[in-house]
Amino acid sequence: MIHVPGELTCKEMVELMNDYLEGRLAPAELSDFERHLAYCDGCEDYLRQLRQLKAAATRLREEDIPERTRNVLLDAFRKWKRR
Amino acid sequence: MIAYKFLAPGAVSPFSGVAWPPPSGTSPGAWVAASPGQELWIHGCRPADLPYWIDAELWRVELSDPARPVRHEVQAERARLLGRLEAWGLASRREFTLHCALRTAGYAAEALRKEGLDSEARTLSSCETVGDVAAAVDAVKSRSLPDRCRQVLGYCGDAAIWSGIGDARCVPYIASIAAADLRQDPAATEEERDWQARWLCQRLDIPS
Repeated sequence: MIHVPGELTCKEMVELMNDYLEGRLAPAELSDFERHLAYCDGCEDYLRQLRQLKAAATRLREEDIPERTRNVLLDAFRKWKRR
Repeated sequence: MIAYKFLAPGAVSPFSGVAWPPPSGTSPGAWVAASPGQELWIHGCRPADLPYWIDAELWRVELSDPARPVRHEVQAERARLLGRLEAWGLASRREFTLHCALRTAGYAAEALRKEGLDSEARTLSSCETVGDVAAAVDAVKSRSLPDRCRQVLGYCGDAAIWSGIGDARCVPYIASIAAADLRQDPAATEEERDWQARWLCQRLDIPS
């Protein structure tokens, strides 16, 4: 696929999603980002899911996580770090 | 400055989720302002920008001075809705989507013609419906074709699928990329977008 200057790929969009949600994109980058969202259902859906995830994570407190789940998660992170 | 703005159903901004105050009778809607001191201003479209920002509703807006033009949009600190362009509705969205799908078929026909497949090219360029385009792509896609030709034909198939489900946002983009890929020139996207803008202005009676 030909590269068109100013047109972001979906992969580039995913890399910029957190910066977009945190208002860290420069104006020109923001315009390119939103122009991509204007036609791409996939990126729009992904952004919506990320917003929901961030909202849920903000509400979650450490004590809300059952001990068993916390142990499973910690174990997974430790193993992941060792790879 | 008078400009245009595509919004999601209910006059809602598709990105920020802001619900725009609608006009009342002959009075414009209330001003909507960007946050004070913020670098990010309210976005609007000049006629040539319209194809890049397609959405369900199209509104005429007033942008406060000074409005600054940027790539494919114009920005201002405040804006207000003046009136909805009722001509942009289900029927015109379908027409626009179909025309963009047929434009993509035209690019695919050009790619086939370059390979000497004149009969197949004629079939594609004479398509009148999305069904015609899908059938023409199906008929030729099993042939042995060079990668570039196959790529443009792939865009054509995609345009038929998205047009078939009435997606007016994606098909114009596909047409612009098909044009650039066929010509191997990124500037061809802008030429296709210019055509789309002219079509929209003519159909929606927007001075260009």
